[in-house]
Amino acid sequence: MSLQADNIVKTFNGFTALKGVSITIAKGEFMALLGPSGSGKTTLLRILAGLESQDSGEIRFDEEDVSTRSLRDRKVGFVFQHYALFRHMTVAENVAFGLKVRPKETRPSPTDIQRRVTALLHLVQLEHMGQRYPNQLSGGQRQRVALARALAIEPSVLLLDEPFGALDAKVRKELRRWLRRLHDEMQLTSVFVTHDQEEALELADRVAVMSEGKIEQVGTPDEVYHRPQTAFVYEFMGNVNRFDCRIQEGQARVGPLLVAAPEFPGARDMAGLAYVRPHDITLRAPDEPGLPAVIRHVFTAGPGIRVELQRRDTKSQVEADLPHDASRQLLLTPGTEVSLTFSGARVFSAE
Amino acid sequence: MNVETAIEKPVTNAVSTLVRAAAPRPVGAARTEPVWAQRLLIAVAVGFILIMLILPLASVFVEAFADGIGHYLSAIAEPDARSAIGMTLLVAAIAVPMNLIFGLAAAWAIAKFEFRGKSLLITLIDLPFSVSPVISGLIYVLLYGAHGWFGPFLAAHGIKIIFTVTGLVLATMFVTFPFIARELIPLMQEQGTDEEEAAVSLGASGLQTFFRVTLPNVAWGLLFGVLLCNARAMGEFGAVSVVSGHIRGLTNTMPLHVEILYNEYDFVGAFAVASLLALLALVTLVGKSVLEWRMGRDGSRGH
Repeated sequence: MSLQADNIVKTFNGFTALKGVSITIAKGEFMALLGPSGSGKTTLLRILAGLESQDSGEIRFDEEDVSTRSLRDRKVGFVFQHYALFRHMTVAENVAFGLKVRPKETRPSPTDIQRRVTALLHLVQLEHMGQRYPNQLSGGQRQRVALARALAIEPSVLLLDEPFGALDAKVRKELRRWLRRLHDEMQLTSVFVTHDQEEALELADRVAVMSEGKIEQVGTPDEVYHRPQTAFVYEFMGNVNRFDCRIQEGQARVGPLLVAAPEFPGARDMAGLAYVRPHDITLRAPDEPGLPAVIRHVFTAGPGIRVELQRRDTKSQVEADLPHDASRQLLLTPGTEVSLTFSGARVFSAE
Repeated sequence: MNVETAIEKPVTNAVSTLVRAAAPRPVGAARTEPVWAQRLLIAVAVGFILIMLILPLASVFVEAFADGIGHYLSAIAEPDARSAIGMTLLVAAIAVPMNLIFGLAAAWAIAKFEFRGKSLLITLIDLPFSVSPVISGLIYVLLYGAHGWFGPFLAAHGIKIIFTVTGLVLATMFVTFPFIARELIPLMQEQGTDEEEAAVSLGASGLQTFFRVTLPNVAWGLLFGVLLCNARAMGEFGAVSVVSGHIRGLTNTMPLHVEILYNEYDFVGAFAVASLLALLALVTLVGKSVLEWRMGRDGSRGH
């Protein structure tokens, strides 16, 4: 089923959580809503599910307006951030709940329910946990019970609120790959909320980056990471250096460096901000042309080297990520004078 | 100057003795009181409970059986006593379920919804705790009595409240209504609305959500509240005394009957009926302990 939100506005006690958000999620797509806390991503998810109602705007499932349809009638699978398992029911009873509450005409027989619960527990690899209570399970197991329970009603849409937020790093990685496989096998349309950009980039077909109640950019992980459309997306998608610059007819000047700014062909001495990722900074010998700086600290950061530098002119900090073999060509010790150049940069207007 | 030093000296001396006495003690032992202090505290506590609680309770039974078990049984079987027991059971049987419904509704509203005046409602629920029961009874007389605000209206329609069972039930409900709500509000607030939302998202109706999710989650707390509410409803004296009119065999409850018998110097009768109330207290106490144990166990099972 395809999902569509059209110009959704939502206000809570005078605070505008969503300022006219529109998004289309194609059938079979795995979409991430990514943003910092307070960006409105969870509110949007809850409105899609019918857990909240929007002040204005429309929600459509397969072109059909469901704005007035209640949570109960939208029949989406919803996985809550803290799982919301029924604490007085066993795992099997939790999974069976959605089937047992159906009206008599559509309710499967007890043996049918039993069979489907067994199949679902097998699917989430918890076959032997059926008689346990939620508090006897680990976080990762609870998460899988919550998934099995949501899938029991055979939804075509799965909505997940920070599905891996409360899990430790290792379990999180395993579980998200497993979830991705599950999504593909069951041909679901899924939307999940996260504040972790790595998670969004790894898991989703497309990512919607949100900030302050608006969608900043929607695109494939590659697009939002490599071609951010706004300064916010650039900053949110990873470490970045900011340089004040002046833009003049499609070029921005950072100290002695010239950076391409094709978005501003007619600009005349406009204030701008140049964003440069740490891995797009090259260190050269001090006599070569570039931005003069001094090395302050050198760290080994996983596969590469992270260098903290200070600009000679403005005294501001710059971070650079270098490959391991960079130290062979240059003396990387604190106090060394270097010259910086950029292999990639993006200029935004500061006005 | 002389006066000042005279006052100051003993004070500083006392302080320095205290400091000196405390100083040589090892850090680890700082929290352990000396053995004699522990024993003294325990003795005070036990002595207090013995004199203030156990002794009076025991005396109730001793007095009740003072003339032998035959007198005891006939005192309870006496028609006025039997009607008082029946009246108490009737009042509790109406007031407790009413407060169960009210308590659940109030706790539900407060814990699961946001609305204006919520804190005012919470304060109002506590009102019967802070008002003297006699005043609670008087309020009803002022409202529904023959010369009260609604007196003429009620009289015109042939409805009698004061000096009837209706009055007893109303006064009892007023006095006991915080018990169940108070027990449920923190429990429901702590549980939040996640499980209800999950139930509805899985297709459950409002009633299914209530009976399959909300109610089982608060069941032990609810029973606990009912138990306390019932104990108070059966034992209430002040409010009931004002609205009852003490009509023997008609509007007399057990606590009121005890007082009447006592004032008539029928000590065996008074203590025999009182012993039933004392028994109720003991049963409540045991029930309370069992429920606390169950809730504690469920609590450790919770998230």
